[in-house]
Amino acid sequence: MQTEAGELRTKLRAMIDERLPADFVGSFTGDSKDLATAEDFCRQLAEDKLLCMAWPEAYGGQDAGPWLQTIVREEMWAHFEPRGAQYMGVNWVGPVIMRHGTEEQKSEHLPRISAGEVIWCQGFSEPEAGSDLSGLRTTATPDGDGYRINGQKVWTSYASIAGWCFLLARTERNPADLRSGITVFLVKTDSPGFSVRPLDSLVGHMHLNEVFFSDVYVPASQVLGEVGQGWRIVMEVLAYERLGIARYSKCDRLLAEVRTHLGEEWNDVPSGLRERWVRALVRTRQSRLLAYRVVAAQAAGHVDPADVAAYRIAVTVLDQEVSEILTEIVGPKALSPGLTESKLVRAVEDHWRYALAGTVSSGTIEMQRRALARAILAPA
Amino acid sequence: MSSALRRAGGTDLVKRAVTEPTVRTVEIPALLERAGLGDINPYSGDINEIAAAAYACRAAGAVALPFPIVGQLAGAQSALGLVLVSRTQPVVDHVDLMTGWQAVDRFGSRTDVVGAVESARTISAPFAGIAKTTTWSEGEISPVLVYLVLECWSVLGSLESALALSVQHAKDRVQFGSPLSRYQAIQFQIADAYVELGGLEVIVEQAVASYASHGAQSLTDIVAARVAMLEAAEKCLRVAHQIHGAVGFTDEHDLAWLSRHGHIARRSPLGVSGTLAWAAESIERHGFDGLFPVMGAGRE
Repeated sequence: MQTEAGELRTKLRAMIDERLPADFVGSFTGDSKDLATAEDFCRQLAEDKLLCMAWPEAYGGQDAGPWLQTIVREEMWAHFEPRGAQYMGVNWVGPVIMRHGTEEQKSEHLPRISAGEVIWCQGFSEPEAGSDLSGLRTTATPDGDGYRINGQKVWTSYASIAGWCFLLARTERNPADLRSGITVFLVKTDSPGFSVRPLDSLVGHMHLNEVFFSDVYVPASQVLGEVGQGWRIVMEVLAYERLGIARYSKCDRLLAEVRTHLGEEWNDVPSGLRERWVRALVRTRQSRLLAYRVVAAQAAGHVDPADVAAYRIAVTVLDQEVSEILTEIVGPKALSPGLTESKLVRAVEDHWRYALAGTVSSGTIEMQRRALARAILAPA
Repeated sequence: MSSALRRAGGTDLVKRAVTEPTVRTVEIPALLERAGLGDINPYSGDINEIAAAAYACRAAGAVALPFPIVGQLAGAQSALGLVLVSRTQPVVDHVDLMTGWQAVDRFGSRTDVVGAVESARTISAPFAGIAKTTTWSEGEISPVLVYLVLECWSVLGSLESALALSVQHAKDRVQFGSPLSRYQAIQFQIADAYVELGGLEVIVEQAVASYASHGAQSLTDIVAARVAMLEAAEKCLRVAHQIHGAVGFTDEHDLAWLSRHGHIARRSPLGVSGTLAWAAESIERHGFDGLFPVMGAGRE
């Protein structure tokens, strides 16, 4: 296993060296060539059956277990996510379609995801439904052989470049049980009535968007699972997404690189700051090992939700601590990377911005703490 | 070992030890002998041996066992036992039990413990004394590493008990008409303490594996584990006391003894800042392993 993992890591790093421009710090820079780099990279990964390697062979994968999938997740994030927005399709949209989709849906969507040809966005949050997702109000009303969707989503990552949207809408409203009556729809983003308004933000270009549904028609054949069973499917999505992004891997890389980058100047870094750097190295290791504890449980088939929440809390707090320490070590030029050609400085600035959202996105840290406390404090 | 300690009264041992000297001089040594502690050699190179030592220390920490079990195990290669001290402030728990032992400083230099200079017992360290030593001579680093890593496991055990008590107390204690566990401010403190403990557990496991594979080369990993231990101890004990309120300070309550248990370990030979500086030094020299290792001066 160790050898296989090591070989995969070496292969991925060689591929990254060969195919990514030396100055690549992510595909959402506002420069269209970075987006094109991500598209090319995904196609190459797909060709080598690495994009969806944990998927069954029938759908373009290699049936690889959770450990190899972890290596991919770590290497991609440490190298500024050259898969761009496609990690969502790989990590959970595909697996959920595999589980709940009709044969028609599987053959329509899975090959395209595993070929690296399509970007998905996730239509969950609404203006009145953030952490409390069951408050969503977007409606789906039966119309002929399909449904008419009306409503609004917000904070929808990549909506402006996505080809498809994994949408939650309400087919029924029961005030006593808001979790019932939610249905999943697979919606083409070029459907008439589907519109996107990008929101410029600290987390970078193309990340945040508002999405509007005005009488968007979706055929019944694009309902995923049963009508009204959306909540159950969403809980599964969260389960697939459990480990999320391997934030610790980029922390690991940048903490090591900043030391090399400074060379002799390292001795001028105040000792208090060097000690914060040491503490960050230790905490990065702890987060990685907490992630591995969850992966080991996944591999054994019994994940403890408390361990998952503990990891998520540790790694998002880590990401923010590291972002502050790196920015302080780099100094004011971190805020004006145009002053320097250094890729590291640009990466630090990007990391600081993205880390801001770590304790908010994919379930706030408060939701994680609540879930963890409930698991710990549950009656014996 | 856990069940043997429970059968022997668990934390009653430490409560009795304050007034009954034979608890530490007769009862516990006999109990540890029966549990097979003398058969464990953490220096054997077999990961199972050092892991067994680690689990014994965790079980001892869980009941705040009033006995220098870490030193006894770390001394498996020398005469009777071995204690890690600060050369300038050699305050040691249970120094009165260490006749015939050796002391090491954090660089591995050794000396003999020839007694206690004076009693240094305080309310927060009721079994402490100042070690009287003879001349120092250079020695190996391995005993320092074994001592440090086992001490982390002992503190882990006491923190796990402190959190378990806090969880139980939060469920049982009713204030303003509700159990404390219903209040989100309490829930979040417990969640954060749990995260700290999880992070400590995984890094001390890694430290044991690192010692078993790399021996003397595992210094940085073990000092890193100590950094995590010191920070987790501060955070978890703060939470445990806050949740317990006044009852947690009383000597009738186990928490007061769990709090004292790792007190000297947390200050000697170096506290948080000193240990961070030690880790920084070690990383500069030997590097730090990770997905993207930091290169040390000796490895470039």
